[in-house]
Amino acid sequence: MNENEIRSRLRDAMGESEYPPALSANVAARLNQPPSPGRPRLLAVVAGVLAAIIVLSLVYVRVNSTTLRPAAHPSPTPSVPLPAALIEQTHLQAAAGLITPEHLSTTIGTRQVGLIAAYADYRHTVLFFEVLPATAGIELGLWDETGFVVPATQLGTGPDGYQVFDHYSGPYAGPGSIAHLTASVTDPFDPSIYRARATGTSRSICGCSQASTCRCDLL
Amino acid sequence: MAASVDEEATPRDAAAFVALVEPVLPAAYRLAVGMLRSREAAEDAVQEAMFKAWRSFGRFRAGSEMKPWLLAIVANECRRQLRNRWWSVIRSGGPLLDSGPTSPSEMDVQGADLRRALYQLPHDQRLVVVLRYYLDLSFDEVAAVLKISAKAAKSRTYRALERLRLSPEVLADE
Repeated sequence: MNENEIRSRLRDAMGESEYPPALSANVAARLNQPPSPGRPRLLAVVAGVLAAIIVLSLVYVRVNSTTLRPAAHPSPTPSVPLPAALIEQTHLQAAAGLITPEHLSTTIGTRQVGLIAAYADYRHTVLFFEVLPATAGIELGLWDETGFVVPATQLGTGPDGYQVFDHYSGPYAGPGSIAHLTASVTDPFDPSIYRARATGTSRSICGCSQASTCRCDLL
Repeated sequence: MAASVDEEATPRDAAAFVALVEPVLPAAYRLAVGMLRSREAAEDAVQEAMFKAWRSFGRFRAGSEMKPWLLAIVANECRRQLRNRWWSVIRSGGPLLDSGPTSPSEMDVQGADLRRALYQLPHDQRLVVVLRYYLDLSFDEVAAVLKISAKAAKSRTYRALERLRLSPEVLADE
């Protein structure tokens, strides 16, 4: 493989991102702000350990791949009672029938956090949470079998306590296109340590990003 | 465009510094996107890196090339962000791939696998791949950013490509 081919393949894989026109202005604004506060390394280590032990939930995800046979007609009807706006936000309307219900829940501080649904394909990983009482977003760390997918991401809050993790990359899928995801959930606004464990298995999660191109091998 | 600095270009205020680094910002942003996989994180990294560059501008050697110096600072900032992600609050980025409706072809799946493999490379190996193939730098320029020899840059690139199973032929000399 020559360098041009390598370059082409890498660029296709990495994609392109438009240069943000406001970056120069943002840099100028940043120069007029004080330095970021220093963060002791010890604190980072402690926080990392806490994040790892707080909540672990194991989710088995079936991921779409080209080796799977096409589904007959993926249903656009949600298999999970989620608000339409939430599904729309994740652009999964056409694949709503493939969103798999999950029933994992735990308590973090004073809040009940439940993983209620999930979806994955070769370029999406979407997890739906319900957090009650509905306040600020929880913080999610996610790993697949090859390492972290996202070490720490604060979720956006949706209606009625729903929070959605929407990552534009599929998880690693092992034999049978099954992905094993491990998630840690923390409350960034509560410094206390909470520990819980939940385990569950999804029925199936199959993928399609567009209505006309769904491929899925339902279990 | 390669920005260089002479005695008269030493910026005394933020606006002058921004004018000085502006030609390098697209490359800096592209480097950060390539390293961090997130537009938002990349913007943050570039802003923070430029802030640090400005603060340490007194140590910049007059007459030197500014681009490798700035890219090295951006690369360090990306490394710092990745290390701190265990406990920093970040937002998940949008899709880097600006593609329309497409079917999940074999190419797409291979691309996803390659992307995943790339982000599992050690930082230094990922950095040479991003600099060489995402920013199109020559090996001399890559070497200047990494403060290593061109030969070492080429060797590191070769090892990274092997780990990505891209089976490089002889790498170009330029």
